[in-house]
Amino acid sequence: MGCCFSSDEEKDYLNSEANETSRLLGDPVSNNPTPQTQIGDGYNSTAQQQSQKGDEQSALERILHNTARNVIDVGAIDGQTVENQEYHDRSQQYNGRLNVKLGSSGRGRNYRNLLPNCTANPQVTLSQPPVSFGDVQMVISVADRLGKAVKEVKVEHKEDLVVPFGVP
Amino acid sequence: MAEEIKAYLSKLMKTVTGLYAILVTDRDGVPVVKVSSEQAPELALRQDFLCTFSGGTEQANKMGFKKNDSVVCMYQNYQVVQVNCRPLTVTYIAESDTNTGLLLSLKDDMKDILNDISSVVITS
Repeated sequence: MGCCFSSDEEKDYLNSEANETSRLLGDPVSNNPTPQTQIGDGYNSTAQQQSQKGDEQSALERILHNTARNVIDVGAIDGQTVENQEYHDRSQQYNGRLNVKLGSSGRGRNYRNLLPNCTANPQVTLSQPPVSFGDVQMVISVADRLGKAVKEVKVEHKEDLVVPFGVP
Repeated sequence: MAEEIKAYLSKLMKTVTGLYAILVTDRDGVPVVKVSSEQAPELALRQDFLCTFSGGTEQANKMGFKKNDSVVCMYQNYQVVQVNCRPLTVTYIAESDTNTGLLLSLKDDMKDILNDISSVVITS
């Protein structure tokens, strides 16, 4: 797209797809290069005019359709009731389809566990005496020392990583 | 087979205090799977109530805030949370003081089920 008075051709306009910059009314000069008064060209220009009119109509319809689609219509919210018979039919249909689908897939349904199964009788675990302070201290100190040990692990370079075979 | 899904949903329903019903419906409010307890208000389980969400969410999409995902309605005694899982709609009916965030997060626990169900419904 060029700016005012630029010599660039407006390429968007040539595209068949209409957008917000495309013109609703065609350029009378560029679309009708031949004047109607010319003998023998009367039929062609009429056809052109008609197709132009059709384009205009469809563009206007498109605008109308888009506007209707974008309007927030609160009144359209209610009143989508399904007939009683259809409701039951559809409900049964869904049930049947669901059974067929789940049955045919064959795999066992492993839906996400809601809570991990840790123990069958939690009251036994919960009623146990608490862990002694000494044990907690020991666990903390061991974990500390292990952490330090891991940090101090060093790789000792002893021999070449790449060993050449048969190279003189 | 559908009973398995129902069993899972009723188990899920019991994990949230005050949750009375979980309904998975199509966009017209026709239930595909539903579980409810006795305390669930009968009127809220009806199709003409459930289908208002799809119309409402469609209109709400035009507000310029991008896609509408869920609608929470608080009443004096109940709350109704409806989540858009195209082509399905999931409706939770709960007590008014139930944790709403918890209800909204139930969708994650239902992901597998919704995947299984979504191909069953008629999309128009």
